[in-house]
Amino acid sequence: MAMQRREIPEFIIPVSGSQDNLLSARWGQGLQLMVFSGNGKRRYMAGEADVAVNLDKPSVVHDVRWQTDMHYPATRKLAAQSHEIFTSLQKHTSDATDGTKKPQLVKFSRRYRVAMMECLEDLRKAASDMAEDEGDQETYKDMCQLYQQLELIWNLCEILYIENLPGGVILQQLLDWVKLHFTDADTLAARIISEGEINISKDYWSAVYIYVLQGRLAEARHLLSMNPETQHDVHGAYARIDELMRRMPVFSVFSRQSLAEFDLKWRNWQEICQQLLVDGVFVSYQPLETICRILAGQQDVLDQLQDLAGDWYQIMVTKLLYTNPMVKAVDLQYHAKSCMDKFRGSSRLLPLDQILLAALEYDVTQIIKISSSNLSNWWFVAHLADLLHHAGQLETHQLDFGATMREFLLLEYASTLMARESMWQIIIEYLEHCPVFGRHHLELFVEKIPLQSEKKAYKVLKICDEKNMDDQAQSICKVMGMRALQEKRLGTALTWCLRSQDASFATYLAEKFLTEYSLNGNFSNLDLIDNLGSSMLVSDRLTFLAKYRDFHRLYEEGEFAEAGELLLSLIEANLAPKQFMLILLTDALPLLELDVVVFSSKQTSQLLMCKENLLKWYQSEEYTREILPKKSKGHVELEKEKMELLQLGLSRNLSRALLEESVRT
Amino acid sequence: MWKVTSKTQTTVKEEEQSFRDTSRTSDVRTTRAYLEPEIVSQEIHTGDVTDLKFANRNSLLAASSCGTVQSFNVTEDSKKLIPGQKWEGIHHLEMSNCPCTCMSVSGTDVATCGEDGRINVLRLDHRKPVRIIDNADSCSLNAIVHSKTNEVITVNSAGQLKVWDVRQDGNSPVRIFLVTGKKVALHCVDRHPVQPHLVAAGGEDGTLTMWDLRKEHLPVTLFDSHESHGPPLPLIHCVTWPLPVHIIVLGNCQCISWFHFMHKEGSTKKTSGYKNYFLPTTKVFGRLNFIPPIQIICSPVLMMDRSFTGKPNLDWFIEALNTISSSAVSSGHGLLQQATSGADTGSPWISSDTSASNVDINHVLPSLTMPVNCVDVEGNSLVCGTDGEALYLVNDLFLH
Repeated sequence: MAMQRREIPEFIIPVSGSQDNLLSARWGQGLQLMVFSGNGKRRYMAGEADVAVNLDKPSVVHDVRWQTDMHYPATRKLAAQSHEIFTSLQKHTSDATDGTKKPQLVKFSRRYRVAMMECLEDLRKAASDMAEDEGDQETYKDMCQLYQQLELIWNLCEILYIENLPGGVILQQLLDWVKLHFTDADTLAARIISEGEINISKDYWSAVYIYVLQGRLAEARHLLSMNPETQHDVHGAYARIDELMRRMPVFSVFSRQSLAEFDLKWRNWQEICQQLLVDGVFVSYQPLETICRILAGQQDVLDQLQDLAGDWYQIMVTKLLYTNPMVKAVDLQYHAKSCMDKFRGSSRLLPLDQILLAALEYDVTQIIKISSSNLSNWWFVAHLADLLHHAGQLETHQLDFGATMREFLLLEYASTLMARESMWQIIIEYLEHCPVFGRHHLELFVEKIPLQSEKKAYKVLKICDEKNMDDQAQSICKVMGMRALQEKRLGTALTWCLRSQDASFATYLAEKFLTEYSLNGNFSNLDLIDNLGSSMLVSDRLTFLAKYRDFHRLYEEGEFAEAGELLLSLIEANLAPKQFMLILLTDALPLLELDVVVFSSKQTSQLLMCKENLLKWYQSEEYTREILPKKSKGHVELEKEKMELLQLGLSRNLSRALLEESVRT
Repeated sequence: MWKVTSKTQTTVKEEEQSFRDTSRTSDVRTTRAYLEPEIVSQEIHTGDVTDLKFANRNSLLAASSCGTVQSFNVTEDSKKLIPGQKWEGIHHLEMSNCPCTCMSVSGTDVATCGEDGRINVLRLDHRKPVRIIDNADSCSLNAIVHSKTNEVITVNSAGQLKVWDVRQDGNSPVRIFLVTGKKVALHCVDRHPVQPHLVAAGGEDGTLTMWDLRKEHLPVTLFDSHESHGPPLPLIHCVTWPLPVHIIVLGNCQCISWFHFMHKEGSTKKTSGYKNYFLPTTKVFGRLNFIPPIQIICSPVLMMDRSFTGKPNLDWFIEALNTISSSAVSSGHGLLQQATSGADTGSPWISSDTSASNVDINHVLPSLTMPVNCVDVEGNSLVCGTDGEALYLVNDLFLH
């Protein structure tokens, strides 16, 4: 096929001052653009570079979305339902054997069609709902039409590709197809019957003709029997035609008839029809003669009834029914072509005609191509292609950019859903079933899901866990943690950080807690810090924090000996930041002043050593250069005082401890 | 607000019709139309609805992701939701609002908790919260439930369950209970309907943890439901305890589990038929409530659809179930009986032996693919809402 010329749609977005100030845009989620007027003024004319210029008016951000046909209430329902079918189809085909596969596929196809019908019903309801505004009603009406077409195509594809019965005799299904989608006769008949007295009007005969043309002879006979003329049918014409219609042979795959047997019967029957016409039995009954001519398979009568016979594909089915009922599916394309030439003439083929023709020609790729370029609905092509793929009908040739057609369509479909926030779980499921690029898209998508609440964050994390996306899970935890940090919710930040086992973030948070302590002298978030358990091991600093808090608790509870020991080990382990060392040592002061001796001579000398180390650090170049300038004079004085107190306390304790130890030995 | 008819009534109707009407197809059609739920009323709500509770028969409270609680008057005559009092910004962070995650009603008092770790106690007809516990928790509070009139239980994201006395001053809990092992976030909590010291909480990893509040910090029982029964189902969203012998647990995907303690006299096989309704709406999020005896309320997430409606989407639905009243009465009886027998023999939930011999776990909805967000049970009916924008109504739970 020649390259299709695509119209490039153009939208005018009323951004004020966009002529002067560059129109700028940022991508949103999926098919969504945020458009606004930027503040670089165009000065190309004057030969100057772009200059930032403030706008006169505040800029308005326009949220532009396209391909939003799955975002309406009715179609969202379709998206949700088809998602369920899609996932069970993927699961089914991975563990089904060939024997059970086909009937199951037919079932899946039907389920898709049910979902479409339901959607159609909802759209109809919405289109006639007065509460909707007019623009919406128009859209709904258009969508109704679209979905009707889609269902028609889907059904034909189901007949041809999925259900394809043994022997390839296909007429009965085509009749059902026509019957299901073209219900003019039913509406007419229902109206006529509801009027009570049967009026032999033009409508009445139209209904009968359509029934006959569609091969629905039972309904036609029912309608005919209501004709008051049958009561005084002197010539027996009505009885004859009734008999003819009753005896028309119908071929069914499931009957035990062989094709040859049926062929014989059918020829016999049609010969009777032709004979009756020749005999002129119905000459005085014009409508009955028309019926008989249809039954006899005369071509010219179809021309006469063209208004009733419908589109070329309907005529094709009628023609096949009365001239070639044993037509094989593979031969359909020749009949289709001839009917099309005859009844469509030279008028331009609509996309629908092209698609149906492609379907009858068994050109799956063409169906998908025309549908996707003309019907503006990714839902249809994506699901149809997937179903055909599972039925083994879709060639797996690679497209130019590396993926198969099925994958390409699924990705397109998924991206039309992206602009709609509530669809993210559905999108993930579709992306997951794209073997080549799916994973990559999934990873990008997951990171962009907006997380309004923790509940949603947990759901996304869950999916990350299931799909082994550790990096993404990490980044989500980090985002949530940072958000909490900005809101000064250190506790929440810590929970998120612990969840992702993020050591550096934990260290950062622990330091925050410690700074808070050194400023205020007490801890916040005690409930969390006290109950850290084994999760404190994520980072050294966090371990220190938890242990240090333990020391305070022991001290408060009066367990001085244990508290002292813990403090000493904390000081020795060197887990604390250097600046915190003085605080730790100061914490030892009250223990030194107690009546009982807490620190032994050995421990005291260890403390003394630490103190000396600290003093050394205070005199080091690093300290004097970087930290000292930031401290106020009072602060430095205070520190000095503390050091002296420590010196005093430690020496006194040393003497007491030595004394006590010598007494004991 | 949705209206739906119960199944019992339908079967009667169906029989009547098949007597009268010979045409089979029309019979089916009328039955179907009869079962289809219809919207009774809709009301606009700001932010996502995170929780729904009835304070009394006529007033419905809705918690919002903007940290607001709004009350609506529901009258059965007018079939309308009339916005009433609003408590604005009771949950907030330093710079922005934050979601109110859960509410619990006791008499005229309503306790709320939020992601800001704050507990508020509201009283109907009072404009301001009557008690605020700032910094009640260092991390997010995910659920709250009253155990007594002045006592509430909260669970948080760090795997802690706390008991608060709302009459006491200060911001420290009466007690703290912890999960064992790894610190998993607890998402939901409910208490035993008649023995309030028994509490069940569902966690992020799919375990249901039971505490006896009279005992020490650590949990008494752990039900690792989802590993041994059917597909793994981590992340429990919601737990309800409708009858002493049943707990219903909602998971992230695939199924709702239904815990049931079997009596010694033997168990009955349970098969649940379920019917699902896809709502033309956004996700059913937050909670559902049965108003005893006849109504269900559910809330989808509020979505702003600037692209085509220009106004916030549907927000409120109430379903009226017309005839469960009789079964509700009988279940009320059953409840009392089972409560006494439970008290005599010692509750099965806190026995140390949890080897599934005396606890029976059923999957109510086996084929769900989407997270279930909310559930409520009334009589033999269960209703739940999922992220698939669908509402499921299970009619024959056989809870006795």
